[in-house]
Amino acid sequence: MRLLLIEDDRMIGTDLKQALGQAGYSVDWVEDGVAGQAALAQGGYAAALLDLGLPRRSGLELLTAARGRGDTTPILILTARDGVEDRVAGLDLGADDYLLKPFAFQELLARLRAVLRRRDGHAQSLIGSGELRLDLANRTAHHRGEQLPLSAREFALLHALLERPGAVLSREQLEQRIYGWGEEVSSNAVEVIIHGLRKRLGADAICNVRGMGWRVPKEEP
Amino acid sequence: MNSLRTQLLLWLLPLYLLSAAVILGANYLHYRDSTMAFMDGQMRRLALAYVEQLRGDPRLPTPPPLDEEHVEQDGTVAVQFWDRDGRLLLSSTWPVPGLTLQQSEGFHDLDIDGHVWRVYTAPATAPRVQVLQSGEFRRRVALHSAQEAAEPVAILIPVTALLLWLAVWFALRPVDRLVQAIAAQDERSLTALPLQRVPAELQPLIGSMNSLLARLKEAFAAQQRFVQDAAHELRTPLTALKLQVENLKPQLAEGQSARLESGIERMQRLVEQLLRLARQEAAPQSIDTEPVDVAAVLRQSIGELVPLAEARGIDLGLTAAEPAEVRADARDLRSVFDNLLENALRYTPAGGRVDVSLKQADGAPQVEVLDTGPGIPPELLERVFDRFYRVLGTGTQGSGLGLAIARGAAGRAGLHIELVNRSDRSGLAARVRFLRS
Repeated sequence: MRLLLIEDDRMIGTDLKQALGQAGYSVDWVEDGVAGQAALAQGGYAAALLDLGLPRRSGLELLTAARGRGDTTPILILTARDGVEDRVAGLDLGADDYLLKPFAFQELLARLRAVLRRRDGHAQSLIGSGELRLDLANRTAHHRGEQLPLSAREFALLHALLERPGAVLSREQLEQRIYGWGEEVSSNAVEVIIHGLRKRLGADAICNVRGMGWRVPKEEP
Repeated sequence: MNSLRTQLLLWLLPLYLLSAAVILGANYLHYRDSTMAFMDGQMRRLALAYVEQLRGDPRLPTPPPLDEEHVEQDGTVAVQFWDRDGRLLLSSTWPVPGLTLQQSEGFHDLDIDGHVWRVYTAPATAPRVQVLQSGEFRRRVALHSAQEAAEPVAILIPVTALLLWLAVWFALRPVDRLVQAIAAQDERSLTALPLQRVPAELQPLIGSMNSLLARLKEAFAAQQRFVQDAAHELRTPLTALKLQVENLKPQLAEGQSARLESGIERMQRLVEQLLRLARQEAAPQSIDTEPVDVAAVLRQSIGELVPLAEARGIDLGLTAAEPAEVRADARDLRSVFDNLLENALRYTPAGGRVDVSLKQADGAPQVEVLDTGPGIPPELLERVFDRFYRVLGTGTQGSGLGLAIARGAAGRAGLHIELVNRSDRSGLAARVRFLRS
């Protein structure tokens, strides 16, 4: 799979190209914004990794131009700038993700996979964390590769938790997801559902955070 | 306080009142004297009219009837006719006992039994004419007319004093405007002070103030730029280092790459904390802040640190979250909570417990982070807030900046952080009190 790397730092460029090569990607590396824009315009890349502070043409300008042309190549911004404005500007201009340097390489690979999956249209229907995956299109669940029968409320609860792996959801937030408006809520419904799920998925699948709520562990990069 | 307005008024008002008093006094004297002179003229003309009449017709005329009321209240002039030897020939019906013919002609002030009389003795003719008027009446009339003349001046004094005060107040208005303009300066957007409607005396002051503001603005911007540049320059080689370890992994033994990675992680953490500290100091204090839901910020902070707690095998939980709103920058609050929580998680051994609570204490919200770590020796409880200070022998690789950052952010948000050792067991209690809410 061909990637375009637009990065002006020689050290990062060399090492990132090598690391991505080891991970099975073939990488074209250009060192300034103008060259990057030209390479992107030729097309044929599965995704582009874009630094923001580039010589000759900034990453944000390049991004604007590419999206203005109707180029839909997934673009992942890699930057050492962590200003919220930069992040918002990058995403508003049409970047697919934003990764702050110094990143863990495994994190980059995971984000890259996610971006590529989204491009292929899987992202909307398939969510998951670790060994547990939910297919939202046909409302099925798989655990360790095997089909997992779930009730509607169990599915709704797992859906809520797996939307943002790692995030803690409170009882109220989970109740809102598993009950419709005006439905009578029994006081320990969430606990009962989670207890049942833990029995089948293992105690570590859903963690309780005292006084806060529940979370599913974030996928290990 | 050394106020220009007070100074000016302290000089102007007494001076003004003094001159007003002098004018009043002079007015009074002038009107009294001219009234007296006018009445003297009347007396003299009356006496001379009798003299003239006697010259044509030597028979003594009969003066109009008089009584005490006429004399004392109306000031009617009494007339006396004397012969050459000083014997009284004829007098008004209201005689004054004990008054003799004055030898010299002209005006005399005579005191007869405590009653003052103004007497005019006409030039020597036969018979001689002498007229008199009550001194008490004359004094009263003179005083009255002097008062009438002084009254408008007396009324004008407070009015003009008020106008004076207003004039001083208005003259110094530009100073007030200047003060407001300076007070309204936001460190985020320093703007030059307006030079319109500013008196010439204040122009140089504002000129130098503006150049100071410009330099301050430049300094703020330079510091912000420095932090941005430093962030970029420090993170770039760290990124490269991490990628190099990644590339070396196939050639390294398992333990070797793990140690390299943990070394780089530590460096990265230190860099991030340093940047946070620098950014906190470069960022201007926010002036108008929105009410912030403390519990929500606390939940975010805990949520963010749950993975660290899990990685370190620590049971992290929220034991109480009473509703509380404070006016502060949410980022500062978050920085305080993050750093206190992280501190607790780093110094608590695996299997320990960190309890976070938000309660009302002494009428103000209070956040408490309780850990089951070793605590801090009492003599070091203040020193741990110093930058890069770490308690020896803890075996923890912290940056030594967390509590310094927390205290800095707390100061900006109007919070107070207090560290105490737990009394029920070993461990530290970090309390955040909200000084203003």
